[in-house]
Amino acid sequence: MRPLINRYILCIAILSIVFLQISSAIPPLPSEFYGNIQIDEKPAQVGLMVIAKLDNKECGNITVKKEGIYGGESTFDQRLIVSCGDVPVSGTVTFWVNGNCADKAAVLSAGSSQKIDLNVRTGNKAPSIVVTPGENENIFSNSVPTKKATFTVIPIIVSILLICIFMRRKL
Amino acid sequence: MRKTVARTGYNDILNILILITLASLFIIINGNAVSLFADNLSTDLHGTVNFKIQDMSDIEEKSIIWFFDGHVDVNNNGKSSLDYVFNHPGDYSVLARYKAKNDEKGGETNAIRIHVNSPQFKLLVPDSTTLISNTKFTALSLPQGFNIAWDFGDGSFAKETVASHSYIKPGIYSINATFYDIFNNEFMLSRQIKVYPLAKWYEKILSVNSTSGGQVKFIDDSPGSVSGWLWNFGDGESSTEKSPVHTYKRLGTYSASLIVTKDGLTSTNENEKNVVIFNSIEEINVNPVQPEPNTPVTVSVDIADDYKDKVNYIRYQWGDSSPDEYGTQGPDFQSSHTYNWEAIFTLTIVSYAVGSSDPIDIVKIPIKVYKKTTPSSDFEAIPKQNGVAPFPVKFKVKLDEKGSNLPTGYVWNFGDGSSLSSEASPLHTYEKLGVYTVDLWTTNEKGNSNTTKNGFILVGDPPNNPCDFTAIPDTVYPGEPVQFIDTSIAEHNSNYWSFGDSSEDNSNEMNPIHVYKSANPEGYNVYLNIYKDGRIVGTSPIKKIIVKQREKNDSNFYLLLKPGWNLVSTPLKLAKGFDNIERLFKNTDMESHSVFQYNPVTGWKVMKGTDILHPLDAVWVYSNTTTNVDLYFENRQNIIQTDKNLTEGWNMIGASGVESFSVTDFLSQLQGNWTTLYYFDADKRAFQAILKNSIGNAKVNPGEGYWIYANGQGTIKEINIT
Repeated sequence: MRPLINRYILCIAILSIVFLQISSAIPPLPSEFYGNIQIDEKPAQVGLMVIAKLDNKECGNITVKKEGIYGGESTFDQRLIVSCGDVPVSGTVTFWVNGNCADKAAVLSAGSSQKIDLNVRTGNKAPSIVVTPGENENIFSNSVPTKKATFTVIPIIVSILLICIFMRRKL
Repeated sequence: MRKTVARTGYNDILNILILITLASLFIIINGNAVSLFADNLSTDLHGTVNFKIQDMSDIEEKSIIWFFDGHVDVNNNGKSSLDYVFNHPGDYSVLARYKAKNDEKGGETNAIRIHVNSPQFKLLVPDSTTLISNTKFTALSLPQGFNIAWDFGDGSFAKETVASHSYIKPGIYSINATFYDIFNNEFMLSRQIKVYPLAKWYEKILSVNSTSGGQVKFIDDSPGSVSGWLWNFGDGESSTEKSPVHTYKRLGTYSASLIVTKDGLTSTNENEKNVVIFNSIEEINVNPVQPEPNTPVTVSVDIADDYKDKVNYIRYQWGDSSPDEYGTQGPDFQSSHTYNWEAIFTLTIVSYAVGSSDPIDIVKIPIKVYKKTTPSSDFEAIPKQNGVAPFPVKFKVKLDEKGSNLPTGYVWNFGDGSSLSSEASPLHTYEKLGVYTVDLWTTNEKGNSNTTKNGFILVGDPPNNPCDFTAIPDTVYPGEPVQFIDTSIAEHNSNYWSFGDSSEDNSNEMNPIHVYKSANPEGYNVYLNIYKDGRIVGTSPIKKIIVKQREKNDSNFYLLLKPGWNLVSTPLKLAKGFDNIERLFKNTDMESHSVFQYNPVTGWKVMKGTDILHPLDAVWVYSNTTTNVDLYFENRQNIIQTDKNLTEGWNMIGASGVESFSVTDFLSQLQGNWTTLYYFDADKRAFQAILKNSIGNAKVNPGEGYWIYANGQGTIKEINIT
């Protein structure tokens, strides 16, 4: 009898995982970037747009409001917000100005705020340095669970299985 | 003896009288022996009277001579009877002289007095008339044989029984009517007539401007030489000039009139007529309203319906030294132009009539050509931010000097629950006392902007004294702010507030917010002194602010932030001025992290410092250290239950109330339309799930925030807040 019970328990576990995986995830917190920016060694001009890409998909942008600076460090300063909905919270963020890639990229860390000074060279299409976040925690990659929700049918299925088990045991 | 002498005297007098009487009788009998008779003693002019000598037996018939008023009528001599026609009025004495047959001396008849009546004349002449009007003059009774001659007093004459005459100068005239006949009888009647002046005028429109109105020259055209004018322009203005130039401040139709005077006579004729001050150019549309340099601007000129068949062409004077342009395609016109530099140009639009070089209208409008910037959303209240209910306020966006940050779209939220306004400068009236937060969202082609001004409009109660104030609220708990509103009507320019708690906390602000730290159920005594140029001009009555002792759950609530991210909410509605993100977390070291809020439809939102943290909303806040965030709640009597709409997907919600209570109670409002609730365990730095079907004794805790997955639309309300 015990192997049979173990088989049912295994089925329950598999079904639960299936249902859990098809449900949506908690949206991870955005990442924030700010710092100095130069275009071909010169401070970026006001009005230029800095675009952040994750896997070649634009995930945020910011306009240079002060020459040579994108975003600020004060609490209510505007910063480059990188948010891709509930897509994976890992990856490398690249920074682009007028189709040219900045020398630095950043490892995405949900909820992090990083000061990264960028240098954009004309014709550059890939970063040469990848910056990892400092002590900023990534609560979305470490927490359990972070991306799971359940359907209400799961308890029903579990109940049916338990009844089956109970009846089999009686038999 | 004496008696005898007296009788003798009386007798002498009687004898003398008797002798005189007898002598007279003798004379009468001998001298007037023949009597003359007339059949009428009076007659009308040209009437006939028959005269007859009664007894011709002793008279030689041929000797009779007739005397009429001493004049001999030779035509009738020798007649003993005749019919005499009197052709002149007056009194006549008629007698006849004769020779007696037996007496050579002859005699004369008695004289008869005949009265010949004067003729009666009547005129119909008006007392007054108006200049140049045809006036009728009538002789109502004209005796037979008579004619009439009119003298109108102005050198004009007429001979008709019914004559007409028009005067060409105002004044008072004497009219003489002379009646005459062939016997040289003349009778004259006189009358006076007042000839009033006649007011006549016309106008010439000098200019019409859609913003500043129109200038009109009024020209006196009154006949005769009048000496006084009184113009009524129909807009409440008047003038006594002969031909004044008047400026109407607004376009429209005005009923103007003129009264003229001459020698004390005032015109009475109706001369009121409409002066129409309208543009032939009805509207000028400039697109864009505020063009940028080197960008074409389109100018559309709409011609008013009444002028569509009159305006033939339009001249555009662009105001930037470029050549004038002419548009000849009606009835409405359009042209475009490019300004090459930043300035305020004056565009002049001139309309012309068919075949005329004289302008109908000249309209000038300024065109600001500047590089555009993102729109301003900063605003001001006119005339001021504080007043008494009902308080009308005009809101106006503050622009830079050039107006280059002019918005093209506006959304105003007045903060009193009224509907939003999309006007550029709305006038809004606050009906109730309160402290109102005003939001403005603006947009133009360069972007969007938003400004929120918390506690911007302060509306107090009507004052009972020249110096007075309103406190909102007047009963609080320690730590809760009180907004003081100066409602004084006395003119002043500085204030001194005494809040009654500590002299250090007194204020010189016009409308201060004060927070009482300690309870005082008896109330703090508050008063206001107002000053004008440093001199005190009023003191308000003392009013009490009750600061109640906090009960168990009214103690200062605080959020405990742990290092790193925290998902938090407010248990109750926060007090005005203490409810925005900047105020809440001003002491929190966020280490360059933003405060985030999430909406399943619009995604992540970076909270601005002015954004309000509402009950049931949750926010992510980063703290570098463990920190307490003090919360000041709105006075509970002012709290209105808040609700929050959930959308299918992940929603962030806050707990409700200052006490923990079961998840079941909290989420039963969603009627099962949810799947999972996550809370963030700040100690473990990890999410914890509460499944709908395994809630158990799980509780929601005040100040915490939660992720909840909603299966569809739903609404949760604040509970546990009283």
